[in-house]
Amino acid sequence: MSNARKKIDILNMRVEPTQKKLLEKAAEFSGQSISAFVLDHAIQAAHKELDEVRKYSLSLRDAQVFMAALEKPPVANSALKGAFSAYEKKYFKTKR
Amino acid sequence: MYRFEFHLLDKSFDRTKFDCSVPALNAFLATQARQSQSKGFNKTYVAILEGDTGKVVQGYYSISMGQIDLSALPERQRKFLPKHPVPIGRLGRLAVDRLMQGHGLGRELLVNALKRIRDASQTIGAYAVIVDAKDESAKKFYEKYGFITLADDPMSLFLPIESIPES
Repeated sequence: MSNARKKIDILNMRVEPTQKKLLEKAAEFSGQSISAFVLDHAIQAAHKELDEVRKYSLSLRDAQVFMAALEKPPVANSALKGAFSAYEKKYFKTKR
Repeated sequence: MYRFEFHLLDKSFDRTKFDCSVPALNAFLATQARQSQSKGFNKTYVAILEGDTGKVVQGYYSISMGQIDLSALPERQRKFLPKHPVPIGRLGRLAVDRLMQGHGLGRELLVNALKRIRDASQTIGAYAVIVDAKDESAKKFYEKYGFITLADDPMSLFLPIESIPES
């Protein structure tokens, strides 16, 4: 993997002159080239967006633990049971 | 004992005072939560003090639907589960204002969230709840309530839907 030649793709985009000036200024300020600056920030924004729809890929051992727990769901422990009954008692004691 | 109300976040709530001492969780509530909700990524529920007309947020959580990829598992071990990613409920964040910490609000938010996810799973199907712990103390919080830590993704924990108490 580490020795594989990096593949490079090109991404073109149109910008308004004022936008380009702004980006140039900001890039210069941060000591980066304009494309490094734009890419850097775009990648951060992309991660932030996708963090909300994250997909979990489990390793083999975690997948086995997950599968076993679903097959035989553990009974809620006393802390969780206590939290639920305290909540019910506090908010639904008279109603319901 | 403080009593709280739990509501879906909308712009009428005062989010400006919220400080749980975790910058990322403060920033999410202040700047991202509503946008993220309107895009359909997740829903944020907030707790306010009962009857507080200023609607100052004391705590919040955000939940969404997610997926778990079990393709690492050999087919014969996958048993009753679908071949494709398994639907789950995800508790992405849970936070309590630092001035309100120590009054059991975190525990109440957790119960409120789990009830909501359990109810949703009855209509659209989900096998488990996954949480992302932001730090060690958050992780301990979930472990205390029986969440199971993933060995290879130690800041993620899960609980089967069936393990959520009935009431």
